[in-house]
Amino acid sequence: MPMRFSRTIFIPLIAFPILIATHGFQNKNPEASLVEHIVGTSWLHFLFEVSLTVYIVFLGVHGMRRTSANPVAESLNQLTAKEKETMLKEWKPEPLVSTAFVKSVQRIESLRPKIVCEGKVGKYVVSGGKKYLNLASYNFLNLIGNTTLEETAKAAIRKYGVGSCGPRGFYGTVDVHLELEEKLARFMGCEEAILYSYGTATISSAIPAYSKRGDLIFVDEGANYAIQQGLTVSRSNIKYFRHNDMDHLESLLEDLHRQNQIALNKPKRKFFDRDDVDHPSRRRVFVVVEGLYANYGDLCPLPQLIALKRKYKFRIFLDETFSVGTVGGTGRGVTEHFNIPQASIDLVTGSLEHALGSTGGFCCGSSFVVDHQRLSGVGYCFSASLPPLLAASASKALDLIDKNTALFEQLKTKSELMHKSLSRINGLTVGSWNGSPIQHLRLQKSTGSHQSDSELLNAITNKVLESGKTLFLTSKYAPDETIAPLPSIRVLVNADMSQEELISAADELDQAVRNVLGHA
Amino acid sequence: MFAEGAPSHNPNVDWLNTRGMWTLYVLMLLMFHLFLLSIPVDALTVPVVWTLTNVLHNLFSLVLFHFTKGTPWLDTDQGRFRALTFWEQIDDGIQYTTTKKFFTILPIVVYLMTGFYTSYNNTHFIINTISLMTVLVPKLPFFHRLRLFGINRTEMKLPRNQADGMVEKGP
Repeated sequence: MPMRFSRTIFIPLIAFPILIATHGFQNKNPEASLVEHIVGTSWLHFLFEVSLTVYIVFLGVHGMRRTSANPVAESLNQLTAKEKETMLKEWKPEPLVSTAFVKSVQRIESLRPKIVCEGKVGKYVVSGGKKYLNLASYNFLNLIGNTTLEETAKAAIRKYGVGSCGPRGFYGTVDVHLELEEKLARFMGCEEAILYSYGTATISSAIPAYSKRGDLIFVDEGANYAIQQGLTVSRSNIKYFRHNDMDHLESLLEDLHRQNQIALNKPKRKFFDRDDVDHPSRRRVFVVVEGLYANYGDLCPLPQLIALKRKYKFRIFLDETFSVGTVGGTGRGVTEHFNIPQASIDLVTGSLEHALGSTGGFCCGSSFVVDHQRLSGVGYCFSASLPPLLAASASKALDLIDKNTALFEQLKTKSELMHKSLSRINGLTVGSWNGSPIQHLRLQKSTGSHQSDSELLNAITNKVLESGKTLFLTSKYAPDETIAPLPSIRVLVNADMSQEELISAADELDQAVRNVLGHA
Repeated sequence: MFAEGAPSHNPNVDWLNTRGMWTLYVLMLLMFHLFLLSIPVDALTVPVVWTLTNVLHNLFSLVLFHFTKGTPWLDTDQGRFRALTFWEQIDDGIQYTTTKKFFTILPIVVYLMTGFYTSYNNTHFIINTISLMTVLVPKLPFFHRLRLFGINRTEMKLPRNQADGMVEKGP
């Protein structure tokens, strides 16, 4: 509480109580003339009016002469031309990105190998004249370089040109966008889907479209960078629960429930306790989880989450960026895997950038919910729409994978095989789900610091690059991750790779680990 | 308002800073007083109408300046301004600015005139003085962001840096 003190407050503050207390001494003759009134009025009444007049005079002569509504402009006006000149000369622009941030990015980058790819980055990559098996691209269904998709994209360029040149609401919508949205909604089994032009911008626009200041979001500690950005932008209150730990989430929800009960049972002074926006009845509660965790390669325990939702009443945002097109019998994601109706999830976001080999993201759910983003989704409203050629190829990719159960069966078999082969490596642990095409390998015995762990793992992948025929990369984390996961080697399986290729890749990695870590 | 080339930084209260608004305010008060005078009811004598003008104007300004908080037509998502009354938002909470002086002096002047036109009658004096104090006391710098007995308080559960981030500058 700022206690700003000024003597002037005593003038009316002291005068008033004395006046009230001694009011009975006043002149009560109604027949008196005005002069007689003023003269004959109680001296206290007179004193009060005089003190008010003094107060007016005080305000009038008070030094503060602020006439402008804009203090900055006002203070600038008081500067002399010379002072302005000096200020302009002394001014140095702050860098858009802090030097500490840049340095930390450079430190991370210096460890990773410099690979210059020649040709398409598909199942194989060619770098320095050497052909590697690519286990470092999110190319789960081998749709990158698919000739059908390339022909579709070419045809779209001839018809629409290279870009749409405007946001969706501003001359940027063409028929392929609407067609793709319709197809995505049908594919995901939702009422409506909305298309974003960048996968990362999807969830980071969707979260702040619904969750505002004063709302509460529970989020998994392992959530990816895009989710973290969305949380920051939403300005909501954030509570983290341990990765995939539903008991921890339940205890947090139980705490909230108890606090809510206290707040709801508190007697409310109807008139005085106004605009209490922190009141539980006016606060929205969300739980944000990923279907298949990008940083861990494991699935979220959706059935338990749904049970908690029924008990504690919250809304679920499910980020299926990596699970759409990879998990489930027909690639519909974790809802299909756990056989949970899509309608029990409030909002699902997905990406066209990984399994579908295009660019962009989408968000789907009931029309009532999704439609809100057409005016509130920041990435939707203020970005140019997805180039029609990419929308057309994503649309074609959806046709290719739709109902193609064999493809997903194949991906799952390969992932399981890879998981099994990687699990045998001594010195590294695989924490990922065995059917996941994203496998994260972390050191069995961490050195204790992220930096030295990262150095060791990069040494291993560089070793494979030197002596082997496989491209492994360590996972890349931004320097400003809220909770940085432990460094890992990220292995990304492609459905088209043969069993022999995967086994020999795992063997190469095993060999490199033996070399670097010195295990027998 | 935009003469300095910078846009208004708090549209809730910046309209109070203009000279035109002050003139309009005084004119509307005068019109209201004349309206009361024109009502053909015997009980509304000149002293009664002056007291009515004073009391009703003070009531109006009490609600406008000291009871309305944040941005009245927005429900949530207002941040720290949600807890501040209009008076506290004027000129970013800086004291003794010309706008604040004007709106402090105005009710005092009306009060002094009312005292004169009611011939310093006791009953009128008590009513008018109480009415004046309700609007004068909350305007004093000492009462900036102070909620007596928790009247009209807002329960803020924002982080400290957001809740206490208001500009505090002395004269």
